[in-house]
Amino acid sequence: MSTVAEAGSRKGLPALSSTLKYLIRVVLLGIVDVFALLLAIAIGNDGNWFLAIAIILTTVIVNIINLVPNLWPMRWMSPAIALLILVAFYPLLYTVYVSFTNYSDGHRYTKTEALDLIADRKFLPEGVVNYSWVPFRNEAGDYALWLTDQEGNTFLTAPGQDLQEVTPNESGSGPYDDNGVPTTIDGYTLLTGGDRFKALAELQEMEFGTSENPIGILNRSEAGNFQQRWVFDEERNVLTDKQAGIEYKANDDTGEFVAADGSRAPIGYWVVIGFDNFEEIFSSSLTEGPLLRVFLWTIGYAFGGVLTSFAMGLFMAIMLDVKWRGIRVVRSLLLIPWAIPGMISILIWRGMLQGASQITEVSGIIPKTLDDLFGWTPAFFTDPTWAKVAILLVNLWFAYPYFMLISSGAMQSIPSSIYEAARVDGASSWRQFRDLTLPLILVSLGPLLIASFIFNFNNYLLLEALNGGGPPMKGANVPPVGHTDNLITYTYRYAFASGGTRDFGLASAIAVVIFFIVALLTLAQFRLTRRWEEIGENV
Amino acid sequence: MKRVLTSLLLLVVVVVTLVPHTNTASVKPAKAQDESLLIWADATRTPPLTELAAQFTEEYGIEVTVQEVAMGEIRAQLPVAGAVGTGPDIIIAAHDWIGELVLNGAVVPINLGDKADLYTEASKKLFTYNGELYGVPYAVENVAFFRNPELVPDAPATFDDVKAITEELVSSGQSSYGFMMRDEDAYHSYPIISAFGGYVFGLDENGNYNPGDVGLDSEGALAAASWIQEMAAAGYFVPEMNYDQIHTLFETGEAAMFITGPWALPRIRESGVPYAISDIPAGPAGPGQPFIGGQGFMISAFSENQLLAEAFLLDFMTAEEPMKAMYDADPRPPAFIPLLETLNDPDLVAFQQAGLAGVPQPSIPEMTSVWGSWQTALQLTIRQEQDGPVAFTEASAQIRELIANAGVPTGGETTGEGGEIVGLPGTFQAQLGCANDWAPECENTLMAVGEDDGVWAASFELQPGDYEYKVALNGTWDENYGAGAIPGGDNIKFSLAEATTVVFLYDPVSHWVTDSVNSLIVTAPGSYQAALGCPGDWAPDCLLSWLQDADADGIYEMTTDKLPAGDYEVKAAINQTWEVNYGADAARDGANIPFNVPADNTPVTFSFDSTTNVLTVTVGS
Repeated sequence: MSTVAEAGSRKGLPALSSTLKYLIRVVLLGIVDVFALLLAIAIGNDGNWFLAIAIILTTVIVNIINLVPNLWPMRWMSPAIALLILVAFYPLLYTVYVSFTNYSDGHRYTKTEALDLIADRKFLPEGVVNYSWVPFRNEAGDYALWLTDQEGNTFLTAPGQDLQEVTPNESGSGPYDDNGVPTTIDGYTLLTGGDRFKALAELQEMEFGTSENPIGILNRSEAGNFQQRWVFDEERNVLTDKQAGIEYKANDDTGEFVAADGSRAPIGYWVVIGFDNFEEIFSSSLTEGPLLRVFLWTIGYAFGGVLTSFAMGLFMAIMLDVKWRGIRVVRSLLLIPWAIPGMISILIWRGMLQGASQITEVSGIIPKTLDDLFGWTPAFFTDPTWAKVAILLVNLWFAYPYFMLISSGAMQSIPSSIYEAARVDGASSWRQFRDLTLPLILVSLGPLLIASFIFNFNNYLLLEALNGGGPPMKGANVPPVGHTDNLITYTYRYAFASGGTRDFGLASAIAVVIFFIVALLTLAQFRLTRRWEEIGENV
Repeated sequence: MKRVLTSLLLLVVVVVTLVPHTNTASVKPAKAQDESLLIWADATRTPPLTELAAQFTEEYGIEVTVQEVAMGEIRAQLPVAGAVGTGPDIIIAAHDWIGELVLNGAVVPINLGDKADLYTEASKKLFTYNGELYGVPYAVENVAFFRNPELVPDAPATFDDVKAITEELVSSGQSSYGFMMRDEDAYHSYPIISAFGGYVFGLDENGNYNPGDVGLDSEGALAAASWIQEMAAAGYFVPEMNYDQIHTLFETGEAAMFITGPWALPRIRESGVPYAISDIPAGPAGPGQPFIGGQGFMISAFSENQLLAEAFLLDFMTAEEPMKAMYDADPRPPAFIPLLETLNDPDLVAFQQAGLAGVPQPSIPEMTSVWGSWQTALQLTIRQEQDGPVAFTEASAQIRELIANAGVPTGGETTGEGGEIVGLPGTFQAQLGCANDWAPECENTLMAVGEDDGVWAASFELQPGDYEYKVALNGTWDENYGAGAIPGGDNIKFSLAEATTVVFLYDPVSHWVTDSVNSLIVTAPGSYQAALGCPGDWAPDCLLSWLQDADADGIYEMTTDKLPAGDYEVKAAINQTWEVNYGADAARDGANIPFNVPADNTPVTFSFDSTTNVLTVTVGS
């Protein structure tokens, strides 16, 4: 059947069909390109050129794959490659880039953005008249301002038209309202209510008076010949506060405007500062003590978490490796901890471990039971050691079902003939487990153990939700560090802790260091698994 | 290859046809529509504001949208969203965000104009930063002392009374607990610390908080720490007690006294427990001072409609009805005087009364460095893991270190061209976060080298006291200079009567070391400076024309032979700015002093007499 159909189509319109397919492909690709291009332009317009360039590069790669005949087989991979570049490589490279900058509170904009931001601040120089103002508009839609100076003299001004003193009840002004403002004057009508509110957006940009004596609106209460407060002199690289008469020299190494007396202008910008962030990680007196302890606990938690839950999972898998009726139900039930959303069970565990305080009503079930049985209650949240035990305990609850599942799977794949041979040789069941089961399942589980290790290394949820990194570490408060903080929660406190001064550059540098640590550890572990594989091959 | 080229050509055609030709308009970032406002408010204040916004829209035809954003997120996201043009025009804000928001350039000053008199003085003071008002306040709050009048009939006058009453209540079994406090709440502990004479930041001469003066290890603060420790040791304070538990204990009559704010009123009233609100008890240093905090509206610096936003807040919100709506949704003592008068709530009056002794909660950015360390000290004290005064002393050292590290030495680079570093070993180092005094290698007191002039400089905020120091090169004592530019010379001494920013300068050529207390920093800005290598002429901050006084005779001198022949002018400037400068005839802001260099490289000596303020220029030897 199929051969006939194929032959038919070949005989029919072969050239057209392939051209059509080809055309469809190019048009589809074109549509993708258009979207990517628009996205890149929009993002670029927002000032994020890095992301725009990344999108364009990714699109170019996707186009090459789809257009070069030799690469055509890779076409199904192109969405994956595009995503990999945009959601993995790009953030990684961007993090590395940020880690070389001082991007932080007070240095959140580029120099141009920072100068733009303060460019429209105005001030009233000494000796210049400060008016209060009321807006007017005539039928042609032209605006005018009714100004009152400090002495109570009143003026009318329109764009390009000098101040014109108005004497009450003269020069064509209509009846006065409660505030002593004429409702009409010289063909202009007083703006009130919604008309006034709507006019404000336009009025705030307008210039009244003549070019010799311009009048602008500073705020709701003041108008006058206001001047730009912050003036930047590109040539001298100096920002001047005209109001205070202070010159701030731009320091392009630190992203600050510094005056001669060391004070800084109230705006900074971010600059590339080289390896300073990394230097700070490794040399700062702020980080060295706590950072080492945080690092050790990170490793300890990652290893300890994997070891305990793997041991438990393996134990359960062996125990349940029996042919009872209903064992499947038991096995499924044991998977529940794995299926419940982490946040929920962490909070339940929090409640169960909580307390040991003198108020019995709020004491959790575990300290209460321990107290009833032994008259002894470990402080699971406030004692540094017990807090770590609590973390490992809850981690065990989460992770063992996974290891149980994969261990029993791996055990199924060991040929039973090996065990028969072992039994013939008279090996005890412990010996069988140690020399056969364990090495053989490690061969297949090795990579999964490494993946779990990396997951634990970067685990944020458990540590943050169970104890918030607490209890606090003495002598380590930048940011406040706790005994159960790992590198990730520590970094989070640096970058995003609400209420703190956020230092994204430093946090990125720590993230980059973590990346290298994880990469090195993973490499070492892959070496180790290769050895296990050799064992596997020899069996 | 040909096929690839055809494909490319085809692709270009497709793309060109598909790209909307009006794209220049359509791809621009969405900016706030003209004549409309966006407000960010938290969950409590979104409902009343949404209603008020609808009312405003109906009345005036201007669209006002209210977006619900969590309180912490408003603060964090304003600079982010603002910079890309999607931010709000108005935010609901707490007054202590000002420091950080101003640092990020995210808010603009507001002029209350004719509405200024309608807001309480205290509330306006809270929202003022560096002399400018940054918010329209709507609520002001502070904590006060709550007691159960059945257990404690009379308000205790001092914290010693509080302790005695607690002892009596607990020992007599009248109630399980007397006075209670949380172990992780620095904010509620401030009234106690201040009653004993402790403080967070001292005040500078203008009455602003001075981050250089941290007082959490002052004598008073340590006394308060001891008091808290005694209460904890006696079992009156319970570790790990949370907000809810303390409230429950008070509402069930099991606890007799605690410190809390007006936000607790609704639940306490609902519980039916008898309560009385009074001033914070006093300590050895006088009445306990609660922190005063405020809530209000701020205007985003990124807003395109700042004038409209201001008019909305002052011409619409500044009225009794909208303010009442805000109050009803979240009853905090209003900052709007007409509403405060109509409410006439005795509890709010009691809070206001307690607030009279209060101090504004610091809003300087340095405050963020304080909370964490302070809270940890409190926690360690109440949990009896550490001696109270020790915990507070350590916390203060950490705070100082944090604040010192947040700044950068003036000038920036602390390593010279030859890789040398210059340290300032002295008796002020421990205060600046160094491990100990007289540590030439301590990073916190490294001097920074001037980019153009090569002079090393540093400035530090120092506590009152007597100090000694020297300058040491390359982190060791091998090469060091003391008074009179003498290698290995005597320590240089100075004393401060109040916390002061002291500038230190070191000239690597003459080895003269000085500070802004011991001597004047005199420069001779003039039209000759560029020739000397300064970045420009008339630069008072260029230390290449720094007049020195190594022998401390009050005559500051500098000699140069680098000037080409020609006519020049010069003046004398103090402290590297034009603020204080002297010209001809020793006149302040006087005329320029002319001088002539007859031939290239003629030595020219500038000498400034600090008693007469006369600057003399001597040409030729």
